[in-house]
Amino acid sequence: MPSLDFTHEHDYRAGPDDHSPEVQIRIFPKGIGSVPVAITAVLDSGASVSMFDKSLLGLFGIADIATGQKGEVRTANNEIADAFVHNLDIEFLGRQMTIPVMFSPVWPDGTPNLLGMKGFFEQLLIAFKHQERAALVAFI
Amino acid sequence: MAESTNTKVIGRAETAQRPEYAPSTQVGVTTYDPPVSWIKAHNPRAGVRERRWAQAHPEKLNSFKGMWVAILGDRLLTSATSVDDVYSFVRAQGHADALIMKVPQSQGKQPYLIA
Repeated sequence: MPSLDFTHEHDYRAGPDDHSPEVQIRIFPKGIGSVPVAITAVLDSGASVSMFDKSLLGLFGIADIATGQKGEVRTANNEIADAFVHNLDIEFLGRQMTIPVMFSPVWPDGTPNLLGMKGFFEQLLIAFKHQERAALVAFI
Repeated sequence: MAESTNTKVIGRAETAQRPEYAPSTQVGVTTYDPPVSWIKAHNPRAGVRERRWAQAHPEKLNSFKGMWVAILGDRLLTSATSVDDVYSFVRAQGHADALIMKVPQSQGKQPYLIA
């Protein structure tokens, strides 16, 4: 039987609905005197790409959402929305990484931040012990 | 599936002893602190304690439903309707690694998230 070694374990029982693997990530706002801050995001292996709340654009120093590469996102109920990709620096469990994140101008403010497959899960080995509300992680 | 003996546990109160780091005793979080030089560049626990505090003390956030807040440790630093205003305060005060989050309109059990 194959085995995997993990270097980190993140307990996510503080999440919003007891079944969402919500984690905390560190972000690095731009500008003089900036300090890193933490935000919450959900580990979403069902998402092809990461998608963040557009309210956070200013923190990333993005004045115009449309400066990113334009694309589309399709939700589980088959609704399609325009979105723009920006490459963002984040830190997850102490590992700094640059990941592509989409922002949709039509999604409402305050939507959950989703960490998806493209560029994020690609850098990880990850497993869930959901009975214990724990995500096991190793970085590739 | 084997768990590495070097696994660092983030956000859980119990963990096995890890010989390479000194244990941390932060409330609600047990991790093993890496060397100081590493802390300066990285913080794998940023926001973890704060999110647990927010979940454990919904009564402290009742007045801020629908607003953005910044939390550091077990202190609510500021609140505003705009995340940019919250961050401006955090930056001005130098509160690195504060958790910035939006307080749900309704506290308690949230709808299931399908994304």
